[in-house]
Amino acid sequence: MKGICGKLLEIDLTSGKTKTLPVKKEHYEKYLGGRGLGIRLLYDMLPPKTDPLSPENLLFFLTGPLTGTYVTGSSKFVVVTKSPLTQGWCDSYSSGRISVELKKAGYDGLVIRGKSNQPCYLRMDGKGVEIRDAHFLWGKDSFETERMLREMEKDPNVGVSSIGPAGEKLVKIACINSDLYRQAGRGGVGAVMGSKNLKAIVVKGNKSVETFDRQAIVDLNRKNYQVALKSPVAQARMKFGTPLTLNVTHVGGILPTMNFRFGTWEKALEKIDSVGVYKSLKSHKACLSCFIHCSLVTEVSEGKYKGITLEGPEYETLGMFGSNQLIDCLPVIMQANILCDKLGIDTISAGNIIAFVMECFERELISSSQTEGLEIRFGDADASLAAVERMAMRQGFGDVLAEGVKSVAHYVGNGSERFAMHVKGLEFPAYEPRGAFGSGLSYAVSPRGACHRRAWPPAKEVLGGYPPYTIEGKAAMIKELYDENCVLHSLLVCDMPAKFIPMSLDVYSQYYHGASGESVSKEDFLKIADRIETLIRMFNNREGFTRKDDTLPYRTLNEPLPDGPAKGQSIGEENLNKMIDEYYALRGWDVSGTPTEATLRRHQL
Amino acid sequence: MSLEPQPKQPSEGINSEVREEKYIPPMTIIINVFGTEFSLKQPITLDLESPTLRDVLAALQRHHEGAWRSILKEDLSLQEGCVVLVNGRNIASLEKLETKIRDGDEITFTVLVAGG
Repeated sequence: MKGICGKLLEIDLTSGKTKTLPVKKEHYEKYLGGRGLGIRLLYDMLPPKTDPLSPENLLFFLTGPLTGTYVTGSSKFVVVTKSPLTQGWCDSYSSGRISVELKKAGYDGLVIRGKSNQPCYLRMDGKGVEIRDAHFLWGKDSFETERMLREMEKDPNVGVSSIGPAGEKLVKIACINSDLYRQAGRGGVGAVMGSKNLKAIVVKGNKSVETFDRQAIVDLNRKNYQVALKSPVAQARMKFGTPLTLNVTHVGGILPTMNFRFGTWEKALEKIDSVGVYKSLKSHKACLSCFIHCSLVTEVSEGKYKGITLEGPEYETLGMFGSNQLIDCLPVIMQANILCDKLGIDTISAGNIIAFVMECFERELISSSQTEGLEIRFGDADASLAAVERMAMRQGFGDVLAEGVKSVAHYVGNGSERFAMHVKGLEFPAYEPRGAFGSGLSYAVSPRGACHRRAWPPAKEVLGGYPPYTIEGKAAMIKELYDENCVLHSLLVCDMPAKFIPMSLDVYSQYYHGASGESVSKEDFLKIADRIETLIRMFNNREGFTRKDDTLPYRTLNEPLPDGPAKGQSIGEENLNKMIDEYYALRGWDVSGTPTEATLRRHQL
Repeated sequence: MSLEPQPKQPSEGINSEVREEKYIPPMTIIINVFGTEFSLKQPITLDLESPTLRDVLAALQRHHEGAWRSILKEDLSLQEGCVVLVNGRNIASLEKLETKIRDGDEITFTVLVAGG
């Protein structure tokens, strides 16, 4: 089988020993790579009930069978671990040169266990891996860390992933940064890396990735590039990037506003939407191995934050730091974005947590005497930025914020959990589910918590023909979206080109054949995805999750949305339960969410 | 036969009356276009009575210029990968081209954005 290396590198930071971990061919056939391989290995290798921040937790950096093969959108990797934020399954995705370099170094990924007795970083090349002292990097932000490591390597093509101070301080929304502006953001993977005293990973490969039919891949890229040139969707994406999504979510009434109280915000328009971001545009950029340049490089041209430049801000950050906090100043959002990236925290979770505290202040459930004088109110940009810093550095009240919105609600009490917007402890991303009931189901049953990467229901419920405020057919819709993304995240390609070029799973079947030589049909891919999602369910069940965890906040279930097209809508507990029943049945799980014996046999689990 | 205009003859019959042309007040709709061409909240005034979306699109094609021409084709179909929303709802989940349009309604032509 081509396109894979057939092995991982296992590094024990406690003993300092490394070894090669062969991966069975059967695992690639049954789980592909990326997410699929991740759950197979985590399920097999991690002892149940392991403390996520203990040395025993495992931290995987995994590629997929298409990584390093020139397939468009294939410079992705996934970090798989047990989440310190949710105590459950975590898969966190990122672009980054490190993905390709890992394959070129001869490995499909890394598995890191144990804990170094002092700050360290890993340096890996075609000859082997070294665990190096990282005292000189400890405390540095992730941009400075990456810059210093790249200077030492004297090679711009080296892959570097690192954590900022937040990861070192075990902030539970800490991310892992790569190529400066790319983050494996969700679920606190940066805290797991920090818990191992591991500051960074540097990889430089020296081999080429063997493929079954390289020319076939090149030909497919050429063909799909021509499709993209004619696709108005791809062209719009390359011009405006993800900020165009904000205009759509506002019109559709699912733009989170004031901590998910409202679904539209007129003041966002022409300030923090595609128009606003486009005014700050300096250039477009593509990820490595992708012919779609959908990343926007922007710069603040005047005012207090003049000179700030970054890749982004992306829609999620605009939503969570903009409308959700009533901040309509783009430079402030860009500053928040940069601060989060440098200090190493997830902009989605950070924005969500701050908006929650803003509502607590508004309702007088918390006072500045509990927050070391920091009053965080809707629309207060300075307070929001101060909260980011304190959260990332665990300073004062920031130590409470660093635990995630579920914990902050527990700290505040007084019924505040009713508007703490999370599932299983993972904060909502920037889509209001009351305006698209399928989003509610998607958040509720997601094994990593409220997640926008397992499925993107607005494609069906706002832009597609599915009635948004009903439950009929939503379970099947979500399963279909989940399974498609599961295939893409196991092959480990960016799921964006698939949607906006567009490229169907049949196309990826051709790419997969070109890379591996294996013939797997779209239908077989979807069966594999069903198996993967079931095994992830089994992992979470083993960790103590039950159907009770597949739920939504009180606000989403019971408070009618007061504005926009979905005015008057709330999902309701009964509706959610019906959708969950149907979803479980489609997966072959019983009413408690446990896979049945027949399902286990069908999946050979 | 005289070519001069003839005076209107009163209709015959007890219930007949001289009908006046009914006045149709203009309606204003709001148009958004989210694609490579972009426009936001463009007001368009139309002289249409209880129109359907089909009537509105036809009127836009006949009488008005705008960024929607990058998405709306001559035959009122849309470019591939594009949809029309009425007040934030895809018309496929409403009455499609027969969806009734009212004064103040917001019509959005958009590409199928994906993700964020």
